[in-house]
Amino acid sequence: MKNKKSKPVLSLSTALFKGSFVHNPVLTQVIGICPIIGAATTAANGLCLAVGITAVLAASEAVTSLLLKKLPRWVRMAVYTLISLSVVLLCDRFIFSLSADSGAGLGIYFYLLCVNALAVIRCEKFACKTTALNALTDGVAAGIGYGAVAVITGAVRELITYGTLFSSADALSRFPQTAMPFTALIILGFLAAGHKWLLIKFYPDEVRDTFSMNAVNEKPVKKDPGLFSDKNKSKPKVIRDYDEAIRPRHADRESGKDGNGQ
Amino acid sequence: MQNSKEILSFRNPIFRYNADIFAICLALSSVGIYHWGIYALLQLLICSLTAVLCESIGFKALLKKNTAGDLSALTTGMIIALLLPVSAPFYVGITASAFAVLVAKLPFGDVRNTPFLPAAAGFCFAAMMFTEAVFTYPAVGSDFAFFGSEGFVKGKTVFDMLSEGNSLSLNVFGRVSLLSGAYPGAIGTTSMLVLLGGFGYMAVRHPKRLFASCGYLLSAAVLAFLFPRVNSGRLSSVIIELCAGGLIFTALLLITDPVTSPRKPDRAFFYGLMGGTVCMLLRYFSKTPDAACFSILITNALWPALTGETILNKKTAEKYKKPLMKKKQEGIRKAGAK
Repeated sequence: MKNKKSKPVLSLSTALFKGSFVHNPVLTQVIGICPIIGAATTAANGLCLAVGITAVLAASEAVTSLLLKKLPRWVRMAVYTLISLSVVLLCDRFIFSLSADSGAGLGIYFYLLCVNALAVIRCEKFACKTTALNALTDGVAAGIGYGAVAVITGAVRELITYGTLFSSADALSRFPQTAMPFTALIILGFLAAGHKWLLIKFYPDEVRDTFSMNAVNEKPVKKDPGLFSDKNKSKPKVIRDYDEAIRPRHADRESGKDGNGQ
Repeated sequence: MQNSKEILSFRNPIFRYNADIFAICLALSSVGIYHWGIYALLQLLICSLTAVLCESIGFKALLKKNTAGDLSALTTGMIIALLLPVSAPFYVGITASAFAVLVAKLPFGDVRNTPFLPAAAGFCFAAMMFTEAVFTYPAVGSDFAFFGSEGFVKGKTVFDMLSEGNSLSLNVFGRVSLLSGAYPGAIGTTSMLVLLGGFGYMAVRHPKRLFASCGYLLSAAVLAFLFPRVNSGRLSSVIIELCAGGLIFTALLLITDPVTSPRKPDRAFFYGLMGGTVCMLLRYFSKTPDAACFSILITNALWPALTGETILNKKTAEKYKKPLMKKKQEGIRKAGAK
């Protein structure tokens, strides 16, 4: 009899923690930072973004896992956008009903969440390969991680610009220039550095996998037969694994591999 | 690790390079003080002191060896002061110097690991935060007054005339004024004579560094020749564009930085070409009054992305890898023991 090795199943809290903190999509992969830079100028705006992205990710990942697994990839891409759009419109109503100022402050960036790269990447990378519950957990965890960064960035910018927290509607701007995008980029840089420092300190085993983005790469890569080998005349290598496609070059350099992953 | 004697020694290449930059900065400062008076000296002192203090305090807070003795912080502060107008309030220089050291330098380790030139980053931050104070220059011969105060008299710079397409600009200032630096501008960027002397000094001391400068000036000159903004001739356009703002100053002191620019001469030349092109494109199409420092930052960001070159040398990479590998091996051992 073959011994089936079952993968260790993470508890809900561990999965949420890992998805939101250890594998934080903004701080480790720098995905979908446009709304944070453009719209998270106050803590309230950051919170609205957090609600929106969490809803978008949870809904799109759950639906993908339940219904879209058998669809071809090019159809799935369009469906992700449609699902995200419907969720964004619902969230928009909800946020406007709570506070019209916050909704207006976000501008176009809130609606652009429906074409955010993060939703597409999480759905393609994870949701279409796993169960609905796992996909939902992953979506919520990634949304919480993204939202936390948005809220922190918004809060710091609001503190510097207006000197307030969650109440910038009537406040006078002390340094209006700090509401510009470059401040958000600097704050994100410091957050990413702090995040990496914490990971190195407390989760050293996770660091290499998190930053090289090789964790889900299961396929072994064949050795390069050499430039003049006959084997090279075969079809060029088609990258089907999404992680492999988006793997940064420095990951290969750090692990001593060449550009082909060898 | 280097001890304090090694840091201060002329055998230390960082100290040697910074000492030469410091000498050029001193020459430029003396001209600035001659034209603008005691307030230029105060601006220089305040910026330099802020940078050195921030570096000392920052390294102490991070429990690292203080490298303020290698003169890098001092030259950073001086360069920022030389790029500012004498009328800029002192808090502008303090903010710029503190940002340069605390944000653009310390988080990356020391001066050998900065991906962006700290002085350029500090100046650009000040330019974004206090745009009018940084880019409004006082008239020559007027009584000193800080920007925004009642007695402040705004002077017309070469750059102002360029943006207006005024063909008479060269005649208004005259070539003697351009050489001596007696026209509205920043403290240390106006005197072409001293800047040319600086080029001569650099050619003797660090000739390889000047390849980047050549590329920078060449691309700026070619673009100015091809697309003149004044109607007094192409040659006049080249002279005015090169003398406007801090372009020559940037070509002498910023683009030549050995940390952020490539070490090989041919690559440094192309790096300079890229910087000059970015600077001229920003001048043509952006609203920024003087884009020289911004061009340095953009080139710092673009060059590694386009060429794959990084400033992370082998020693530094190993330094970061070792503790990670050790911790990982310990984790594997513990898991095996369990």
